[in-house]
Amino acid sequence: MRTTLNLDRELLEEAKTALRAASFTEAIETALREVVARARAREGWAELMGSDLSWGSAEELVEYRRRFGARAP
Amino acid sequence: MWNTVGVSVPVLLDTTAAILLLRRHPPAEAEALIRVAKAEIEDGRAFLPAVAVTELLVGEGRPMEAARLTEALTRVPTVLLPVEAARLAGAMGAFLAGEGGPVPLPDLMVAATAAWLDVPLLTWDGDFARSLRLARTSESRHPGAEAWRKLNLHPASRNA
Repeated sequence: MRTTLNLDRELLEEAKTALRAASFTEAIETALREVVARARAREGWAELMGSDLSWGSAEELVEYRRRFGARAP
Repeated sequence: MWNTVGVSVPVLLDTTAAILLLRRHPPAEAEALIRVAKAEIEDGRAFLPAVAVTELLVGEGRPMEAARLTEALTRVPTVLLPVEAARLAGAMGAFLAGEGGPVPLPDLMVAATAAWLDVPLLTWDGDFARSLRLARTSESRHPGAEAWRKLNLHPASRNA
């Protein structure tokens, strides 16, 4: 999509270097993808935190792991 | 978490650390780990190894809750185990087996992922610290022992 934006030139140059992007477009897209991924991750974790999903406790899993590995040679 | 040259590095969350985050009433002694994990998540630096997704789903037998867990986990950053790390995991397991200890495959995959990525591992499973100590006190030159010695346990981890 073509669009016109008013951007801080210095900031854009800095982002392009930091992201090792080949162009301004690539720098902006990479930064946007990063922001979206972080927001998605925060949403995912927010859904999980305090949900009481999965194992009853960390100790339960540790016991399960020990049983899992008990038959090693 | 910062490395020795002052660059921010990601943190790998073990399944046990994730379980503590999921608990509505986590144990008080895990408060430091939970605080660290939440800060890393907020900064976008927390990753789960793929095997943690498996373990979390193994622990949820209720169909509706399993669907909710699966959906939420699709949004959480996850690291796949590359074949190089799989080899590392095998060597780490062979070392533990040689020492007569149990060799839980999920532990090996988690530890190898952290060692291969060279990122700190945040865990509430004290067996990682035990294996690390075993490798450090052993004079074994097995590649698995070397790999365990490279494991960087986050200071907020249990027994770290």
